Amino acid sequence: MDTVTYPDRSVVELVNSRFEAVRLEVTGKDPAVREVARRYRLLWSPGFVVLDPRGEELRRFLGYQPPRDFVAELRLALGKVHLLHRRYAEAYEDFRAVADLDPPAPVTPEALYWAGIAAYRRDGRPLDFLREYWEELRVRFPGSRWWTHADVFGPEGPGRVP
Amino acid sequence: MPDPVIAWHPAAAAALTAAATSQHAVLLAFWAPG
Repeated sequence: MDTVTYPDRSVVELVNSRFEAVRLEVTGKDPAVREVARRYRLLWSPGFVVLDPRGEELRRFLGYQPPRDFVAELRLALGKVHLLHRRYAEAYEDFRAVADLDPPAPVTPEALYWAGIAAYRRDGRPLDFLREYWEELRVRFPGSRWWTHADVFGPEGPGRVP
Repeated sequence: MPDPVIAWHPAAAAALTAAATSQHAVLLAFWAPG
């Protein structure tokens, strides 16, 4: 992360513009850092946790992240922060940025899932329209588990969103 | 001009306070040497 990802310009720009970022050495002697590490119970490092401004955990992920994947993870997390605070248009923008990556990032199917929800919330349309918002997920990633999660209108699903 | 670098906060508590004030999200990046 130190030699490739953290110095990457796209990573630096995103982190500096939209995050308060802190590094924590989990094996260090600082008791405050060790307490934070204990609180989040990470099983491995490097590990990443994204919190909203009030401290609510919205995403965690583990292991080395190439710059492009790291940016995708962070934008997905930022979309979820917006979604939590009902800023649906802003949430959609972050999810859409991940959805539009070409080639797709590992989290692109998940981004499309959340983009559908953000757009549905943003537009305030009836629940049946959620199917339309998830159509791109069905077409592009029909084998993904995120399409499985979205396929609540299909013959095997309950036919409605809880 | 030097390349930009991530502006890491010096302490977790300070970052959380700053986030609440600035309305920014918080990124906790855990690492271990070696």
